Amino acid sequence: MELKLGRIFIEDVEFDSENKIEDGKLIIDKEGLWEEVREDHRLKSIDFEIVRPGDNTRIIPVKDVIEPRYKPEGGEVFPGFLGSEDVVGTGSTVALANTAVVTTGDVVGYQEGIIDMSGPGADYTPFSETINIVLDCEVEDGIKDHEHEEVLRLLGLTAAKYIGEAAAGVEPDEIVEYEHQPLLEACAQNGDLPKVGYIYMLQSQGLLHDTYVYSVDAKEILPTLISPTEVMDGAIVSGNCVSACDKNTTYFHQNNPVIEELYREHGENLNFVGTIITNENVRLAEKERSSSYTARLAERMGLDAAIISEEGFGNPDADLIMNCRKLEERDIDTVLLTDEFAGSDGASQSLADSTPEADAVVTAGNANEVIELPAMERVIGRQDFANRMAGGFEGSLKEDGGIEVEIQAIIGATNELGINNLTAREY
Amino acid sequence: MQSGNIIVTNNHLVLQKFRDKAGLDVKVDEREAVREVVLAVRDYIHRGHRLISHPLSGNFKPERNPLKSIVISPPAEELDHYSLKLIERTIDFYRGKWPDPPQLMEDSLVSDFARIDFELIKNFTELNERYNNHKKEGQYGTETWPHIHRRCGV
Repeated sequence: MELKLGRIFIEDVEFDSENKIEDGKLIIDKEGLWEEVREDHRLKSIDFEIVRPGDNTRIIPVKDVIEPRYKPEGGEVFPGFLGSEDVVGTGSTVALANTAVVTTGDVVGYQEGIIDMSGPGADYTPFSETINIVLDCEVEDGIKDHEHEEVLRLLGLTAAKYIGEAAAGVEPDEIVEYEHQPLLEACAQNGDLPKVGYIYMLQSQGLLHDTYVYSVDAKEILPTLISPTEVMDGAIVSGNCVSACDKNTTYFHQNNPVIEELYREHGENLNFVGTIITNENVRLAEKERSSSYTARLAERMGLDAAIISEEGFGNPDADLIMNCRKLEERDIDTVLLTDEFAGSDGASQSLADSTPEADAVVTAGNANEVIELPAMERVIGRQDFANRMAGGFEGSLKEDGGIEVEIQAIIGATNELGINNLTAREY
Repeated sequence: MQSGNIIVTNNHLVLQKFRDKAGLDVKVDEREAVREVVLAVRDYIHRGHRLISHPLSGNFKPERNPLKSIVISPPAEELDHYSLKLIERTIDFYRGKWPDPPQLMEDSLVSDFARIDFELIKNFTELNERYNNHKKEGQYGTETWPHIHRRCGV
């Protein structure tokens, strides 16, 4: 299995009447985009905006972020949602690097997040560095929360696919080949290097806490093997509205840095043999089942070690710890990737569960840290949500338009795949 | 899920939907805050009940969510230490940031939280119903299970 992932580095984005890329500039057919997304009868209004790094602009409340992609040899970009359920992760894919489709909307008033394109908040989100095509949408009255989420999810994917088509006929600036061998062959290679797997935990607690794999709701799956090239090729789509700081947007699934790093180390310091996706459910019995099954798969794969990444906090801490303990019991060394909710001073306990075996843990930062975000000249979306979002509190929104919030409200601030800049080190 | 489970909640929507469901006992007091729900569950655990749902379900900021539903088992003879550890961890997690009771919060927020909290535990009762229905129809009751012969291999 081999994926050739090409990247076209986009330097600017503009709306016009044709979809194309010229000299690094992405031109989007605005009318055509509107025609693509207007079909959903649940949509009341939609505006498209372009936002650039350094702009004096705030996007709020953000629902999902998606990288535009194109498959020049055919095949699906988001299988199961657009087009067929065909398996992805092979052939050629082209990404419009440095760009992102951002969906906004008031789904559940307290969950969606902030992207600041400049100022102190910009340092806390990777999407202050991308040129964002923002879909500012409203749905018809009477549409329920979960339908609203679905409308936005499908709009975002549709827009990302349509915009990606501008890459047709354009030679990528860079092509990276990712190979994924059958398990037996992968295990037989690389001599004595430790066989390392990746346990990829997906948010799946229920309504508005969902993640989809080939459009299957992840809370319904048993843990299973997935090729890392499938992950980077659109097999996993975010459908959740949970806390902004540590939810994995679709963009993060497409650009998972853990997988990227494991490929980089592959054949040098370790033998990256496979990826297991598992879920994070609410019932303790389901947690037991999923973690036992994950450990069983890891054991059958003959792993020596595994990296486990969490999505979210609180309830999923129990899944993280169960996964850790059960792998360690099978003599599989683990490294955990998580974040912390340790109070504004960082002095409270960080996780809602623990085990002595969890002795190698990487943190992506303390989500309770408070930050003051200055007023912005331009606000896309609605800023009055700042009082109601996770991480905000009464009085968060100041009279001058500034916001005082926990970094929990900023998209990707403590991303548990490590895509952002925060961590803690022992001195 | 076996019958006899108990939902401890301060969510009016959970009470309304689950009040008369067979095999479920709903303990509710809408005036109470999340703190009282969590502490009540801790007391149940000390009396031999076991956690069925995770007490920190839902990924939003704990101090902002005024409603909480937790499912526990019927009492057993022995204390379940894992349940006790999780509920004590939950109390630690909330310490210093217990949310206000729902009547002190904005109505639209409370209704958002009520719906999410309800949805997160809805599947417990769906499973419960399925179990009871099957029992009624005798499809999966123990009396209709085929004899199991031991096979070798694998």
